[in-house]
Amino acid sequence: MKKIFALFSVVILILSLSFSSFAIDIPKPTNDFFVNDFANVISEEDEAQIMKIGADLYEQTQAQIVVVTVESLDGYNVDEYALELGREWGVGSKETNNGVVLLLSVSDREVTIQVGYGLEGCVTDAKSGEILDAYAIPYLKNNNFSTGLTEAYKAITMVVCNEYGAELNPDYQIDNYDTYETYTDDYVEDVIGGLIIVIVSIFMLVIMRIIIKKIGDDSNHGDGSNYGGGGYSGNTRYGGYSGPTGGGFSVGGSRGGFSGGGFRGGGGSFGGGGASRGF
Amino acid sequence: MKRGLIVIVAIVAVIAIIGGSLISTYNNLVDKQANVENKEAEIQVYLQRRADLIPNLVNTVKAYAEHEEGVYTALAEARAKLNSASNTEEFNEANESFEWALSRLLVVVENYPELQADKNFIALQDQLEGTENRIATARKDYNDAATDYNATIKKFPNVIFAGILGFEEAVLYEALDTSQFAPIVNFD
Repeated sequence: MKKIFALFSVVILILSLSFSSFAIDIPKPTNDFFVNDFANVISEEDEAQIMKIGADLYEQTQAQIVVVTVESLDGYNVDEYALELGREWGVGSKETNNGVVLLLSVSDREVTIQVGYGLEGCVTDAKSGEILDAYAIPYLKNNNFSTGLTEAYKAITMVVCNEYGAELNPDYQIDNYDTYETYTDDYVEDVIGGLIIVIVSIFMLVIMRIIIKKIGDDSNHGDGSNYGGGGYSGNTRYGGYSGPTGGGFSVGGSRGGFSGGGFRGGGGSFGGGGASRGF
Repeated sequence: MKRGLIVIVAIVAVIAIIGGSLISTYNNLVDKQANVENKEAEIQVYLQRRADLIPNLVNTVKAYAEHEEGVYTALAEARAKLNSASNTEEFNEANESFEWALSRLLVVVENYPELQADKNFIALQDQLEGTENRIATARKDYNDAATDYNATIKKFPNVIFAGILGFEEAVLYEALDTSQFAPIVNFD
């Protein structure tokens, strides 16, 4: 009897493996995370530019836009490949699924934008297609993959920025940021600023609770806890930096640039939104 | 007397252990079943969303392809059936004829190059393709959830009481190869 069950379990296991989501052999993300040029078609300047834009956007909004180039899709559909990649890497935060994958396959001559659940409302399917047509395809057709991807990346970032009301350099003249080091300094400043806001928020919250409790005691209403939530607003905005929730802006690794710890996915998921083109 | 007490305590303990494991098994199965149902509902949402894209799409196509009334009527009828479906069976049946009508429309589209260059049409095509991808993804997620659930109810000891408690095997979607991921729209 036991043997039958054992056999059965094995069959079930095989069945479940064959249906498992990650059937595609997805490469591991690079430390840069926002740029994963496996096919080696993006110029160094463009890579640096994308890194700055991506890190800046992530810092402000927790949204993650990653660009990936592969030599081949191994026979898989470009949308499916990008979607599985987005899920496996966890692009975007786990809470809001605000990730975007821009994937190009060189030999298949296909490009796709796959959008995480949380950004489907702003980077719509039609918008994704529009971005590819307007910014990527004209360059990709002439094998200028580097410019095509960078322009598309900027365009996606712009849409996401609008959604969050984030302030990125409007025309992406990001030469303002001299080097990665100064960028890191900005980031450290932001972390300190964020911490101060969090501490002040908590402090205010404590004071509010004391006041509310006092009012509650005085008037015997007692339900002061309902008012407690307001003070946290600073917390959610900056909460991602502290690690466990937002995922992985590693402070220790950012010495001398992003080479140490780098970035990684926050656990975002994808549902198939976006668009793709052959060129 | 003392011995009798020990026996009673032992019996109570055994009942408590069995009962406890039964409850946790039951709750676990309920969770997994709810997850399967949730994923199934998601598929329906996207199927509905696809159907809702059609009136706009048809209007755009009509502007270029006037003489394809048969296709438009078939689509409108299929969509009406889809909207009036009152249960899953009816819905799936209506969806089948809807998909057939939709594939006919997309064949028509191929004969009109100016239509394919229309910005409005391209946007609608993108939405349609995106929704197709969402449907395929939702089906795959459903299959993953259903496989997990099926494996759980078939495992020992769950297999003994899953039947008694009324947990039936979830049906999987078939033919989930990559060719089905985006079955219709192509932009070469």
